[in-house]
Amino acid sequence: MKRVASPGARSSRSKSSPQASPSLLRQLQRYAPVDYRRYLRFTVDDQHVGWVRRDFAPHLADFPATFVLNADEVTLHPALRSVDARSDAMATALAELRGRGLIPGWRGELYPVGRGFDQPCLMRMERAATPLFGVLSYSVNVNGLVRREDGLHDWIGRRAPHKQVDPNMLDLLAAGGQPLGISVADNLVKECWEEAGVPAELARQAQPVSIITLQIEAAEGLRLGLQFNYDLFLPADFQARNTDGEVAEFRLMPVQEVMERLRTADEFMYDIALVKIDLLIRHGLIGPDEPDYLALLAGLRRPIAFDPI
Amino acid sequence: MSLVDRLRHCSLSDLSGFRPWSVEGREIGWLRLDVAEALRRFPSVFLVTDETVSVQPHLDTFDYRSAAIGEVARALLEMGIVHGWRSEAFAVAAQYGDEPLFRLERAAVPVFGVKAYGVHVNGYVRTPAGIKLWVGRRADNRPIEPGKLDNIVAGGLPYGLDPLRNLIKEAEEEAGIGEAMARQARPVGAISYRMLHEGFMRRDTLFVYDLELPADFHPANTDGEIADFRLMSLDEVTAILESSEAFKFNVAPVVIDFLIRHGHLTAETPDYVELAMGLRAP
Repeated sequence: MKRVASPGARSSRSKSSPQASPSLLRQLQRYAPVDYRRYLRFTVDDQHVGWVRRDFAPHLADFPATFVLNADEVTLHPALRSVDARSDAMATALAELRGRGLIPGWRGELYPVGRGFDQPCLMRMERAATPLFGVLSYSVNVNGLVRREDGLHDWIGRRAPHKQVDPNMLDLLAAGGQPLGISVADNLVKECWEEAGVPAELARQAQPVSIITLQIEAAEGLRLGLQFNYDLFLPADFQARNTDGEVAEFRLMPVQEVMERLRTADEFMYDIALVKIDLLIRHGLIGPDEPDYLALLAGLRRPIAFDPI
Repeated sequence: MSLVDRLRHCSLSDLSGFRPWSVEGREIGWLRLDVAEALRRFPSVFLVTDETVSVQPHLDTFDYRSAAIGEVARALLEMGIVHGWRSEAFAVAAQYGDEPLFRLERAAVPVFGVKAYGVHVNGYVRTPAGIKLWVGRRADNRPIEPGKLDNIVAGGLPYGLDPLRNLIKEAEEEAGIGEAMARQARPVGAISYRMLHEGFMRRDTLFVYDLELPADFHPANTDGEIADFRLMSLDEVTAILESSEAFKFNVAPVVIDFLIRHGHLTAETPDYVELAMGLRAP
């Protein structure tokens, strides 16, 4: 995965901080800001819903009944009026592009395409194609927490070496993309069981606590994400156990250790690093005397850039 | 009316009525256009163009700038643009944590549209029936938002002062919370907004703290600024926020942030994403 230091980023200040710890801002600087000039707007039904890289757009010109291209935009053909018609045409084009090897990591899972979580779904799209069209996708993250005498602890997983995305990197208790046809709460219960062996009745006690946004140019394309974060307080004798082979190991880590690792290395998946910084802020492990406190808060929830209607 | 109206009330997206001004090339505030034009009368202090206003470069120290801008603030008082004079100087910096660039009389802060800071504390109690929040009602003689609902402790933060120290002082004055109890307050984030307030651009950052209080504690105001306190269920708080402007304009977003962080609102709540994005003005 490409990691580029942000050229415009200011170096961290240390003036207001009593400690000389490296700034957590390094996590937000793992990717350069997205250069939207490299993209064409992707519109459906006159609404801006995504971004197509200029060098990918020519492949879409092979499907004139599905895509209309001009200098600024890729438009889904206006003759495709219903959600079903749009989704079918998109599926046909994506199957052909997949055959040409242009859509790696096919998932067989449909994601909604629209302007926001509580906005109408204009079309359904295969999950693996969402970064190629720069559409907004949703996911759920569960912090598995244990309150102990010696402080707050956090269940941290290490991703299996065969994972397609971010193998071996540090991850949280459970997380997953949010496909169509399942509520965020039910998806959370499913992921908690598959990834960490959390029984459903326990998983249902997870509390929604925050969101973060993701806006990066990753190897697979432009990832625009809105992630729903939950805290799940677990009993001291709970042991996280992976059931689907996607997690190599779990460890109950003091949050202080989570913080030190975030300050000094890039071991966590990028989005999970953001989720953990949000956790450190919400639980008061860092405060206004942390250098870049306000910049961290702003960076966790940057608005996703679509043109206004 | 809905929860999200409480956030939208504290955001200004149309900046066309304002002109940015800067010190040493760093944006420091936003001036209403008529104020920007009025500053043309002080060419030794401000360089005014149709797009921007900047402090003249010969004013190259904190003290020079403070003295020169202070004289302009006095003149604006006489011109009726600045209202009142509190003889309380606020340090002004481009960003929190940066070296202050000058000091400014508090009454002139909104006129110059510079950033101001505050500390707000959500005082709450865990009960068998769920979390309850202490809500104060502002005294009827307060100059700003009399009678409105408020946090248990809230106050302006003079720049450069430690937020926790300020919190401890305000906690005693406003709610009779002793230092040992006040030190249990946990920082949980901040909200930043940019809004139109009494004709000027108000740009505040509020550092937010949660303070869990014992069930038998009852806050007691000592400075006359709060008329009374009530312990409310989160359902009651939510209903008031949804249906009225009973909460002070900048307390409502602090309380909505509390509802989000404590899981009282869910992904199924209307406008959840906008509510959880919160207020993060630059």
